[in-house]
Amino acid sequence: MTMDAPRFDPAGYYELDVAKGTVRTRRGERVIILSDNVVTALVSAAARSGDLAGLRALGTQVGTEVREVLGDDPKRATPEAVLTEAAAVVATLGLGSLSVDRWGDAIAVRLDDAPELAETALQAFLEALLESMAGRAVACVSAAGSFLVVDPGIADVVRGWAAGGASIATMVGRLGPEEGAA
Amino acid sequence: MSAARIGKLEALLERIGERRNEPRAEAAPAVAPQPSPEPPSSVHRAFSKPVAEPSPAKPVAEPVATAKPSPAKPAQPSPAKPVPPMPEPALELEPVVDLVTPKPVTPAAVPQPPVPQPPVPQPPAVAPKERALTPLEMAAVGATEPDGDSSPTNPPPAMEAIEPKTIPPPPSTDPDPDLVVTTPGATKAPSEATPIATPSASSAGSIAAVVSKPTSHEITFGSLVARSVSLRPR
Repeated sequence: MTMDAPRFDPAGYYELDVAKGTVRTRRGERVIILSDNVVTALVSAAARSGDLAGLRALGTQVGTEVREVLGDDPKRATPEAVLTEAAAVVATLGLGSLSVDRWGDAIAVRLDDAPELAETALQAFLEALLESMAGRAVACVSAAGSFLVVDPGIADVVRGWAAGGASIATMVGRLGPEEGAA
Repeated sequence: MSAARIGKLEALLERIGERRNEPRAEAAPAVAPQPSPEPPSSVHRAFSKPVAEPSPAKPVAEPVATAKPSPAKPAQPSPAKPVPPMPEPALELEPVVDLVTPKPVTPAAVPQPPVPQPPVPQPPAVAPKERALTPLEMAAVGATEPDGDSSPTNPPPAMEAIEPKTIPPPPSTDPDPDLVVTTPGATKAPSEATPIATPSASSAGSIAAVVSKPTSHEITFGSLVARSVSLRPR
């Protein structure tokens, strides 16, 4: 397995065309630079109405970009390579600092310094991002600023734990391998 | 004086009078179409005099008060028309033109100094970081510990938290050391990790053994996610 971590170049990430008034990413996708106040209001309104398609689309977009940069299936790349590229793209989009914590077999994703978006919005974004990179459905359960990555089938159960005040460590302690649960 | 003489004198006077009237009679055709019953205006008068004087054909002719400017000289500018001062404004505009001269100074013509590009800090290398579990949590999770850290042959210190493990950052394949050096917190060292449990200082000695386990290098991103997703409630 290669340990190559593609070098991210934030300087060339955006192409600013002042004459046309457009900003595009290195992949040619047009982006709009907005104040976080504006985005927060828009996302909050969408989250209240249960419409998280935009955040999911954003997560998928970042995941797709990571896949393209890695040039291979991210599933087979090292966690460092995948997360480094994903964190770089997320940071370049101004969405915060992405990191992953391992709790035994479980992993929890953190997005520090993220815009003050609704928790469900960040959750939808991270779910779509991980699904795009890992190629499988995942669910993120928020607790204490982290998002525990679990199977969507048990997400409601784990969310119940989180709603009851359980920490990430407590929730991980309540989880076990599938064979044991069976 | 005899009547005959008187008659001659009268005839002579008449002749003289005729002579005097001769110029009027000659100029009459030119002026005659417009008998000017009115005296010329003062303006006309003021300018008519020099016009009448240079007439060399009639040096003797006295300027008659009723004389009008000869229509034979239409080329003369009409004194009645005050001519405004003409071309001087053009000179006054010159400075304005000078002020506009920055025309050639266009952005394209002026070579822009190269903007020094500050060194772009590289994004941090992100690696999954293992978090600490309390002994109680480890008792629950321990059986599933992939690295076998909590196996009976290698038990954690009694009632002490297991220190967090950090997967080392990608090794030397990245030639740029700044990737790690210039990004504080890029790859968090074990000492920077914030364990949930309160680790005791004496457990620090066990960190090296735990961290040095190379098993994490064998993990792929896909397997990492798969393990987490495979967990079920106990």
